[in-house]
Amino acid sequence: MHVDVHSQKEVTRMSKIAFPPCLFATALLIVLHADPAAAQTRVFVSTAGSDSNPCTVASPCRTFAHAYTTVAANGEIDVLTPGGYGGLTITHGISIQGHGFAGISVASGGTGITINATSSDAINLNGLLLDGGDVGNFGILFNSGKSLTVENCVARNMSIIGLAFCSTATTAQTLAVSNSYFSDNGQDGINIETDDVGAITASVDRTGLYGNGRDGLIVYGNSTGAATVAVTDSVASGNVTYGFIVQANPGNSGSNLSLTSSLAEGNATGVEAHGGSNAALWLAQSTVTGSSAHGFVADAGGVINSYGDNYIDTSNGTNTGSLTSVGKQ
Amino acid sequence: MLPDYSRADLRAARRSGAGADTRVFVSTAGSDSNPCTVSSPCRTFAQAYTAVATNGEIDVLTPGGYGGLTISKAISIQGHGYAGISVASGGTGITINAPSTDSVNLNGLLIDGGGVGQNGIVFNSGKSLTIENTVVRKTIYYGLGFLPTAASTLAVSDSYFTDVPNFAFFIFPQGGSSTVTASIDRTGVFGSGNGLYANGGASTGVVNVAVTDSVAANNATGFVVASFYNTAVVNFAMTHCQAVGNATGIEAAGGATATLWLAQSTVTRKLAWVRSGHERSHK
Repeated sequence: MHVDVHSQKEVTRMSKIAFPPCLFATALLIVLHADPAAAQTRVFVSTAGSDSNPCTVASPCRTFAHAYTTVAANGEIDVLTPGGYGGLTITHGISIQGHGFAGISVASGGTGITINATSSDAINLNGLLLDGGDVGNFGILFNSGKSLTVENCVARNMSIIGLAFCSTATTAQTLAVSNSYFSDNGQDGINIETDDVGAITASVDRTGLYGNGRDGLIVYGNSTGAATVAVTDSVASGNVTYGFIVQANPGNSGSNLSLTSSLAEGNATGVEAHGGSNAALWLAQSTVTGSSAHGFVADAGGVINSYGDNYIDTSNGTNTGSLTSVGKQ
Repeated sequence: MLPDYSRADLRAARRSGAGADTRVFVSTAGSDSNPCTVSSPCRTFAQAYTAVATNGEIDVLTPGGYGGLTISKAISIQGHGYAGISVASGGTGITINAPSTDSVNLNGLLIDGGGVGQNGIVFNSGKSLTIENTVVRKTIYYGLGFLPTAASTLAVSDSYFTDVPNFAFFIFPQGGSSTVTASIDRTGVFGSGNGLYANGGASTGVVNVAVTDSVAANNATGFVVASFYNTAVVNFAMTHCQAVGNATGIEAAGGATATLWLAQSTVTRKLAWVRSGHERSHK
């Protein structure tokens, strides 16, 4: 009996289009008592601290949310001891240095870190462990800002998405992720989506996307803004639908996902380009193996460009569409 | 006057188990008569495990040894690179017997068998196991034994499995006809009997293993795929890997259903010893 898995996926895809994650964006946190004159450049949190403290190194506070009220724009929150520090909403430039031992447990239906910043704000997240316990919705949800850089972070066990970079702005925004992993989330590990005219540029390096309930990494040109994403030395393994997928709606000005030296393994479909003449996947020096349904899918006008140096073996299911050869330089 | 997040955490914890916390803490300054909170941490992983909720996290505060444990629910252990487990003679550091819905995450652990412990990590059942930034060394039989009895996935990165006389890293599904998927990235297997070995001989399903940017050095056999008696279909794809100084660098053994795929990899010393499996090289 032949089961047409791809047809089933089409139905899934159509119903997914109507559900952009950025509609979950929470209301702006209204800060009632921050005094800009007293704001510090570097503030500290510790499990030995208290939110009645001024968040200095000698008197650290206890939560990220409280530390945020005391730090200056473009300042830094520094984590002193291993432990959980709770989520927060970011509305200006900031750096959070978790040193690999700062935890955020995301409450049921909640978001760990929400970013609603302005087009001049750069946000840096380093060394954070976000865990949704299967009940939190999003690990990191970026709605607007100038840029987000994520290093050495984990976002796992969210019920929806580990890192959602949604771009509801009319200005250009950038994302850079490295040395991180996004695993066991209910839908996607990383979801990069344009929801307005602002263009997104993203790089994802040395990152793992494991066992997510939908896609490892999806680039989605939902609105007109162009999306250009480059993935290097990364792994998408054991994801339920797609390892790496680029998808664009009609009217999107172009969504491009390039994979270099990366691996798609044990996903239902390894790599996919879907939609119009404006969704393109670029494959170089990458491996696609062990896909239960399809190694690669290029459909509905999506294009997969191959530099001819990839490894797509016969352990995958069938492929859909064909690879377009492009020359190396 | 607790902050909102704390109340939310407590609500989540209450849903998941009476009195169980979402995040529990261990410290060398703690005691197993403590409640395993950050201000009153407990002393051992085993005790912390009894206090943590399903899908919760055990967080290690200070460098030191915390003892082994058996895991039978979804959990994350954050060792931050300084949490040790000394495996007692004949014992296993971490045993995982979890339900098929449960994911286990191990990050930053240092598991040492001291030449007498039997196994480092043994996975018998569960939805998935992810291991990062972990060292397993000097156990006698398995460094990591991934022995699922149903469909399970394994993801390992930035880890080392060394000085294990038998199987440093063994993927060997036990029974059943499921699909088992494993990805191994930026990982080293050194100085062992069998380095990284995938065997389909005890199941009838599919075993998909992909290894990237990893090294097998100074083992009796470096990278091995086998499916004796033509049982499970085993695919072992190596990309950008290195096998050096092994008595046998790479091996595809036993059955037409075991296939090793080689791309962009370096093998020095004996190139490959193919018994009756398939070795395919990507040009």
